[in-house]
Amino acid sequence: MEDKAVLSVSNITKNFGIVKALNQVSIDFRSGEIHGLIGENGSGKSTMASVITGVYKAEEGTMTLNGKPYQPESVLDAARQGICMIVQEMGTIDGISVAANVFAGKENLFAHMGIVRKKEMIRAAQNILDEIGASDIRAENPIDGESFENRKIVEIARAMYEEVKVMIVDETTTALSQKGREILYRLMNRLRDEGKTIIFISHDLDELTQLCDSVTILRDGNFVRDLKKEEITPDTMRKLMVGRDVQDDYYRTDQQRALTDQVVLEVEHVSSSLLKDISLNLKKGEILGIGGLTDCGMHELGKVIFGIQQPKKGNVYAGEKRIRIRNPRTAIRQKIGYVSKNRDQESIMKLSNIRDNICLPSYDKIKKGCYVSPKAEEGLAGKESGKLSIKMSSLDQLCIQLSGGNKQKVALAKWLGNDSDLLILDCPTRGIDVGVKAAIYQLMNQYKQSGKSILMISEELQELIGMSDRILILKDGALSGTFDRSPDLTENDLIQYMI
Amino acid sequence: MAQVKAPVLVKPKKKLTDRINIRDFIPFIGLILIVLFFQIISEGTLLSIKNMKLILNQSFALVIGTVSCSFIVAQGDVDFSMGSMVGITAVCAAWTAQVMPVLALPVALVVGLVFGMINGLLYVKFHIPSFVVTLSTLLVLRGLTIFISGGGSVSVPFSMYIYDNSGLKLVVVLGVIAIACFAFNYTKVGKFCKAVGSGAEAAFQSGVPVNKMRIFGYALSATMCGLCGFFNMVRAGSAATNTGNLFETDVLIALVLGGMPLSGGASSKIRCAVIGSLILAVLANGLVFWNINEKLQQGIKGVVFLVAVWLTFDKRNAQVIK
Repeated sequence: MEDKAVLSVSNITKNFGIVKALNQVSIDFRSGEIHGLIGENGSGKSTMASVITGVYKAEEGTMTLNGKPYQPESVLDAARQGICMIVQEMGTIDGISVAANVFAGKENLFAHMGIVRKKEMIRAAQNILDEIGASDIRAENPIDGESFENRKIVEIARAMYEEVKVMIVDETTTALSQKGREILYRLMNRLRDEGKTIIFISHDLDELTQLCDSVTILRDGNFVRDLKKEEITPDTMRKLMVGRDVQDDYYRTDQQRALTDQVVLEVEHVSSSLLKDISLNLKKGEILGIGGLTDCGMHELGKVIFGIQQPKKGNVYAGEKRIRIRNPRTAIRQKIGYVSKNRDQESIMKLSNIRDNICLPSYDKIKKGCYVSPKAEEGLAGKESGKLSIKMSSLDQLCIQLSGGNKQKVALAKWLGNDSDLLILDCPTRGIDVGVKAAIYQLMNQYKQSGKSILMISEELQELIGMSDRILILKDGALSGTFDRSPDLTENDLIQYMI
Repeated sequence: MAQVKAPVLVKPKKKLTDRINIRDFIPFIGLILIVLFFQIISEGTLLSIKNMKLILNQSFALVIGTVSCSFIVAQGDVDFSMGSMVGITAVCAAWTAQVMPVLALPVALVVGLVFGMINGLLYVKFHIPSFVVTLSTLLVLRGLTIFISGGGSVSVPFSMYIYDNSGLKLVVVLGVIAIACFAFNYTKVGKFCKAVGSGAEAAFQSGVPVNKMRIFGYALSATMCGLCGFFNMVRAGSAATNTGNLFETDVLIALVLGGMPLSGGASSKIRCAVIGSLILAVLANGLVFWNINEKLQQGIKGVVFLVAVWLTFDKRNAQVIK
């Protein structure tokens, strides 16, 4: 292994509004190594990958590639300089054959007098597929008929033919089964043996231990530590990923559990594309936390409970009369409110003003006959925005002009104004600054104390531990652990059930 | 005393500049300018009672069409089928009138309602983009119109002419505008339409029955096309294969001239529909006084349209248009 860095990033800082996604991070990536990049959700690892591949521009800091300054203008520019990425999402082109996908952009290899010799291309593509152990994928078939997994493998096969210096693999393995993983691992090992650099972003600590030559840990956008091959163990990584003190005053300080035993929500054997046979119940006056990795299905669970998405099997019942929830309207009638993780697209109407946003679910409540008076709207929106102290110029202000925290307050005000008794909050403090965060926690606490219930889905472990009466952990779509509120509960306890 | 007065004077001023956007008034100013211009060109004939009656008759269908189409446009959708909708309802009404004159109007409305619901259902159930659905029904219904009219025109019994009455039309058009304004601004229906246009997913997650609103929009627009088809038929004395031709383009042009955002949402206003229709009607009427060759009129409409879009569309917001 050479000791010289192929790619080094130094003092990279990247802000998203008020959030520091990366803060003065420096890492050296050497040739002939698989370099793991790990951290909790929101620690900045994906942002780092995006900066390296030219998706984002860093505000501060420099990068060098082979000793020369490296400043990618775009993803294409980065690829031209030998840096490419395999991502979680789909990266193949529909409507053409598998072979054409493998050689996309390199058709010239098979061109004779301006005509692409398809047969030759298919033969070459098949060779590559056979070589990486995916001979069941036929190069001449159209890509559209292939499964998600196979498409991923085709993408990997394509990467083999790139003139790569650095390849970034971003949480790709979560989409792959064991077979796909093996192929990816084999390819990564091969590229390493050829002296290339692989940056591997993953949550799977076992696979990281098995594959990586070195690992860099990020936490809240800060560089924590580099680990050498012999130091890499799941335990050390876990500790370094989490290792921070929980600020006590921020969250609830009491150790009280659910206020009553009365069940207000029941989920019975719900299965969907991501979820596997989930059953749970929520009591009156309880904050139930649901945690797990981003793709464990917890976000989908929130949508299924609120009736936005239909489960393949199982039912959701709400209230004493056990009304089955079929769509958001039936849920709202049962006094349930839902705040999506995807705030800007799903929780609020960005291009409408604050008044319209807050009043939207409550027109039935404030109308007289069929007349919705502007005065009644003003009254409701004014009262709710005042309670949450939303910072705004007037109720006519468009939501697009508000900060993330204030947008979230609008989304909450909407359901509080509708007198909801049960709130489903998906990542309630995502991308929100500390001040508003504290306000939202305080609000949640008051809400619970008044005998109402909250189902909180969160990617932040501290938040789960700090706020929940009970925590359920999901792993690969199934319930893997249940914890009651306790001062001894640590993030390590939860992580073991997540990964 | 002076100290107390000062802030009171300053406050409303600040609020005015905050809330008023000059672009909102361009269509209105445009209407006034265009009226003044043709009033001078026509040496006062434009605003004579006789000509105003003519404008009312010419713009009657357009105003009703744009006002009802507003409920679709507010949702961020379009209805291209309106022209054929007028055609098919007019022909159906004409056939009915030959047998039973009393039923002509109800038949026109019901035929519109049924085809409007079909539009809406195709859009909602089969997830076909609204402009594709309505463009298809535009063709299908035109074909149907030609078929059931026997390729020519269907004449109307003489007794029907009593409905071609300017007073009646004025009452109907003002009634439609008044009801639409109320529904659009002060009821759940209007607010839900605008919410769908502002963000269909967010609206759905807040309990807005998005699919129902979409079907409602198309049903309303088509039913009102039935109303237009009926009055069109009694004015012309017949319904023909080309009745209502290009009505949908006139409606869309009028909406844009009036400053209606085609992306829908909170800034949609019925006012835009009314002003836009009047601009288009006065323009068509005024060009006659100006001795413009009839063959050139279509072209001039196009140029005016382009200039109006350039003036009224807020380019800063252009990126948020779907």
